[in-house]
Amino acid sequence: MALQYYLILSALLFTIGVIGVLIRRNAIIIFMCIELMLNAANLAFVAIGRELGDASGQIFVFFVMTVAAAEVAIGLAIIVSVFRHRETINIDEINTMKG
Amino acid sequence: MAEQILFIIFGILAVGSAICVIAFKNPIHSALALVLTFFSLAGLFISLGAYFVAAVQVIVYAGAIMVLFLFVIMLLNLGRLQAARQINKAKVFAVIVGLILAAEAIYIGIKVYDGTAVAPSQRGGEAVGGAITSEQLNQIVAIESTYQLDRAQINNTYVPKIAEQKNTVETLTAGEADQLIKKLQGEMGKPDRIGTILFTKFLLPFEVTSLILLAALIGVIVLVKREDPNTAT
Repeated sequence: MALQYYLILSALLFTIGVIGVLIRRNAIIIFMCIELMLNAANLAFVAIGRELGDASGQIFVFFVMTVAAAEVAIGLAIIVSVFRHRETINIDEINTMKG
Repeated sequence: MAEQILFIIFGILAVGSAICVIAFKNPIHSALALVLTFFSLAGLFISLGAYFVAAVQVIVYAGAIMVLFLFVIMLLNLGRLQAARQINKAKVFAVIVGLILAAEAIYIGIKVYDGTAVAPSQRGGEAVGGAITSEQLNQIVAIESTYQLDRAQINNTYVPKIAEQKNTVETLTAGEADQLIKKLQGEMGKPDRIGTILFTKFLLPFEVTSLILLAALIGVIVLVKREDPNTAT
């Protein structure tokens, strides 16, 4: 299976994630779309790594997953504390940085 | 052939469920669609030979991260907050930007990659009949040192599988050596190989990762801690 097909699939998934971030108003869904983009990048890493016969791509995916886990934990904590203050997670209503 | 079939099944599943993630109104439905996306990506990783990454994908993403998402959605009881207008006014604009981005990314995927980045073992079979070349021997030695494999182990387990009645790397023909290199590279996704290079070549990044997790841990506790007026210092 040629590398190009994996890269195209990765590009499609990444684009779906970008569109999701742009059109959705719910902060949690926006977070899910960011995860989607990270996963699209992971797919490209693994596919290119196999093409080069190098396992470094898979190690990178491992690190991306760690960073994603940390990022989700922090992000959701921020969402929870914003929700406590504002009673909403619609990003149209949380458009100032004032507390 | 099997890889093509798996790619088509999991590729369609991944794209379809990814579209569901951004199309569903209820955040819980989106989260469940995202679980399906993660599982189909795990399937693609398996068909790429990245077994360890596939397992971690299921455990960490589909397990831990999605539980966290669903937990927060249910904790905040977001179902009752479903706004009438979930989709932005700038929707059309966003879709146009997204399509342009997709076109660019696919263009790069198809055109810019010209096939030069192929591992030497996959570049067609010149000199298939002759004895093993020094280039191939060097490649095998490089693989051995990267994954800390033993020459005796390769001689005993891998060589007889490729060429019966041969049990040393040096006696292989060039074509058989190609097969051996391909086989060794194809197994790089196995957990023991990943573990070997993770704790040798990538030891420092691995340790730095633990600092990231520690920072995240402390950050989360600080962020969601409620100020209790009675115990405030």
